[in-house]
Amino acid sequence: MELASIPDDDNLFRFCTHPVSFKGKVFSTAKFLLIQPQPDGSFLASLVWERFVPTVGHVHCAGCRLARGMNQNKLNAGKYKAGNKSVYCGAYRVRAGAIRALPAEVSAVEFADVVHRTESGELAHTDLRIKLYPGPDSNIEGTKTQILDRLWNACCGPLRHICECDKEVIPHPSAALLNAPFGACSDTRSWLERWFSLIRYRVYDSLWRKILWRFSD
Amino acid sequence: MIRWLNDVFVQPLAVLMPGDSKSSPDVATNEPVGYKKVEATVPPSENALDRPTQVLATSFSSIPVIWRSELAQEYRGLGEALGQMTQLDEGDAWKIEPTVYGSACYVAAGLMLSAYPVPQVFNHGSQSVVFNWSHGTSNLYLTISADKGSVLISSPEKIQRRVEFSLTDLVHPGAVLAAIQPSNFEQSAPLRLTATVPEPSEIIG
Repeated sequence: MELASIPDDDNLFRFCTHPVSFKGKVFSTAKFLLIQPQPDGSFLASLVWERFVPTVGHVHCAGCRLARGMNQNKLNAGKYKAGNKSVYCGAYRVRAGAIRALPAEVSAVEFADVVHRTESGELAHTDLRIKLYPGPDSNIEGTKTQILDRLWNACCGPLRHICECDKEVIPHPSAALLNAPFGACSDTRSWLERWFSLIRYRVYDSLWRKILWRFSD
Repeated sequence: MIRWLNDVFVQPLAVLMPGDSKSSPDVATNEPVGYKKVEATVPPSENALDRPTQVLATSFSSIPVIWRSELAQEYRGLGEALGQMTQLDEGDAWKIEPTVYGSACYVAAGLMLSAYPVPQVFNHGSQSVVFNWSHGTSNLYLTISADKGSVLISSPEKIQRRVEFSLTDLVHPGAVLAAIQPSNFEQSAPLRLTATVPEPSEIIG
């Protein structure tokens, strides 16, 4: 369900979890920004939209929910072990406009877009979709490297976090997160904009909970 | 690192041993400033006082050998890591195909012979391996699939170059990288390159 289109100036966040975004104890940008190939030839990744996670606290709450959900899925599949527990480590921020600028930087990309699409009850969930020009790409693997490089260079952060349920994880993998090339995240919104964002979020969130409650009946 | 070893340690010590140019062929061809002067003040002698200098010189003149040995050791580690990636379970994000492993080893061997520093390694999936060197905020990537290679040089602002190769072109990967990399990657350049470079096809954008 798409509630609104995402303006170019809006921020999105990409969550980082251990072990998915790591090789052992080493953070891997390639795995953090992994874009999954789809049957239609496009590539897909998940982000969250700042409109529905208006503060850093909301971002981390959504990240903790994601890791909890991943662990629950492993448990349901009988694959959960203490060693492969998903641990939320933090998030990196990227601007919607930077993602939409990908075709200008990578000639093989036909379009790149971010579309708000709720998923698994997560109101802030957003699809990052990248489509390459049809026809055989001379070197699709090289194009993937190029996309990865541009996405990573558009990121700022990290916003590190240790969830309450992961306090016993020592050393916590969030310490291994690399500083993003675009620098640290800073909130440039005025207090009025932040206040408005929070009120708007509360309205949307309240409506969203009502919808979920109705569907759960 | 290798330049520092040559310029600061190996060359001056080789100068102290003018008759032993074989121990450092790089120096013999470069003839550093002060060569003759040092030769005049330190005549060849069997005096016991010369022995510490001889021992020191012998030790330091072996630094390139040690460095190459360390480099070979590091590349062995890279080979082992690549080998482990082929043995991972199906569905593991780090698994690579045996054909990709073969190509990556082939390229890695060429890089080692060109005295390239050992790269960081990652993959996009089972169809490719990426060798990555960072220098400040710039990055050099060598993406290797079963039969193709792609070199990408980027800065935070933009993609600087992307060049495609077939694997058969990558007989001398070190030479290929040196030929296309900009000056901001000079410090990671190898000792010397003598190979000829094939004409690459370049993608703009």
